[in-house]
Amino acid sequence: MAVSTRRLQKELADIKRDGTPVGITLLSAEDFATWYLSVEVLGNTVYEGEKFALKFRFDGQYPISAPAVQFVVDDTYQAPVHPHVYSNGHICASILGSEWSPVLSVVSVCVTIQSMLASCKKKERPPDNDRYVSHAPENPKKTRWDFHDDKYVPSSPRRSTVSVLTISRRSV
Amino acid sequence: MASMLDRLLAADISDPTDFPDAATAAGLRPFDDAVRCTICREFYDAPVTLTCGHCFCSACIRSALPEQQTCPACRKPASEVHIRKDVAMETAVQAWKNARPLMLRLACEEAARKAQPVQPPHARHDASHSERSGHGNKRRRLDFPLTGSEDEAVVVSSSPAPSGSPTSHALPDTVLCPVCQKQVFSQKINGHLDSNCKRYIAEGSNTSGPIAESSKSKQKQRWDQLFSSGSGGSGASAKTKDKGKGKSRAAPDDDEELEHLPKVAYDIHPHKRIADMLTEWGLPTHGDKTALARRHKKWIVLYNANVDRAPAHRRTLDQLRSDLRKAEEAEQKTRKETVDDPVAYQKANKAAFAKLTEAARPKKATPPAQAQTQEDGRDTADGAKPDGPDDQRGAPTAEADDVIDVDEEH
Ligand SMILES: [Zn+2]
Ligand SMILES: [Zn+2]
Ligand SMILES: [Zn+2]
Repeated sequence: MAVSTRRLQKELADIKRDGTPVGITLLSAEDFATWYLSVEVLGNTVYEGEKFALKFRFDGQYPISAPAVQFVVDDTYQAPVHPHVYSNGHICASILGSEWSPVLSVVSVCVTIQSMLASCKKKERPPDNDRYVSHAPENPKKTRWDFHDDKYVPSSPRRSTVSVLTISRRSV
Repeated sequence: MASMLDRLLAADISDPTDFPDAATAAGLRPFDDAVRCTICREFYDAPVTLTCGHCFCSACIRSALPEQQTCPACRKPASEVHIRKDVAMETAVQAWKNARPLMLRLACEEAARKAQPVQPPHARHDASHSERSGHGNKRRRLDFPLTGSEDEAVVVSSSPAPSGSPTSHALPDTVLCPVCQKQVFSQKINGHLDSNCKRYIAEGSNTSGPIAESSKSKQKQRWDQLFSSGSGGSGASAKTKDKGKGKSRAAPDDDEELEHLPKVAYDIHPHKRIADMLTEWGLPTHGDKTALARRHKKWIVLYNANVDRAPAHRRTLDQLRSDLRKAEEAEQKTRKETVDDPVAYQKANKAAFAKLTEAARPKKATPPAQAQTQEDGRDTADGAKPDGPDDQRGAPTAEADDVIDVDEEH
């Protein structure tokens, strides 16, 4: 069994046993290739009352390589209007690219994205949304993301955006 | 695929939360967690530390560092030359693996003893299911009903499981071992894996895997040539290797001074050279240059991790080759299952997905895992509030039986 399968199997068991953090729900995990989770931002934020779905895709190298993560855009779900989220659902977040760490998990990614949304004060798309969306590869992992301090453009020198503050073992 | 998933999940997954919480068995969960690698979450295999002090399985960190030269846990700069084996941790892991079944049994007996007098009758019914984990109904291991068809998804929602939905009695007594592809008694799958696939094999089990497509069997043949004692190309070279570097270099207590293999810059070498490097170790040479480089790279990881094992735990070259072969096959299978065109996939699965979404009803407020794992924190979960704005509490669908409950609220 691929390492990715065994690791995901453990994560799934954890979710089933311990549940997920508030506002995060596992929608489906049909196999060890694609999972869907919903994310809501609780409390008083610009996304009050909105519910989003994240799609995770894993290759056989997970967790050594980052999962491909994007917001679902379909009849039911829309991508949140956020300066780091393109209207096609692609997310510019450093932990999904250069700042990925193999000790992270599906749930910890959801929590990071949830807090990225929670800290947003103004709903707006990335300035280059239209240009990016018209040329974007299907898989966000194929985009070379560059993380500027507050402007997020796909390309040029790298700075971290959403950094992971807590990388720790699950508390037991 | 879904049924495979169910079976995998139904199999015991060894995890720190197998142990009762701190109120019943202080220190056991944290201990079980402390001897696990944070990358793979298994017990440390050939544990090594970086200069920052963080510990990982040798193979895990050797796979991770080429991607990013920082410690995965604390992000301090790290490189392979700083890797040091952690002999004490390896000893501790081995001892704990031996002690764990007894500790688990004692701890769960203790939990059952504590729970006995106070539990109302219906809760005791649940407790009997969860005797192994020794928790109340909230934390109990869920039983996964087998889904009816291959296409049905495992859906996880907070909706209560329908009464009379299939539970553990519907599970097969045996599961397919993901490593050796043999039928193994479900309850013993961990013991089986710990015994390197020797123990607890169900009698008369089907030794061939469930997925035997032609490409795979072709693949197998090529690998098989290496393991067969018959004459012929690469098989012979494997044998030669065993006589040469093989037996003398990787046999258990033969030689404690094994050296790590250096990394190779595959880009600068032609296909032929990489094929030679593989042949040198008795490894197959089918595939394009990328495949060869990947195979050799993985071999170096496995070999070097083996060097980091205590001599008594070291695997032979043949075992390492077999490990490489399994890893390669598993990965190919995974690659095949990965959805390459999610747009088409999503379209095709739109109806199914809509149902899934519907089935995922507004969740009752589940405290973060952290809160839930604290002593008695689980009792706070009943401060239920629907957190979805739009009430999707639609009529139960036909898939209700396939809905797996997370919260198990009563
Ligand atoms: Zn590991
Ligand atoms: Zn560290
Ligand atoms: Zn086995």
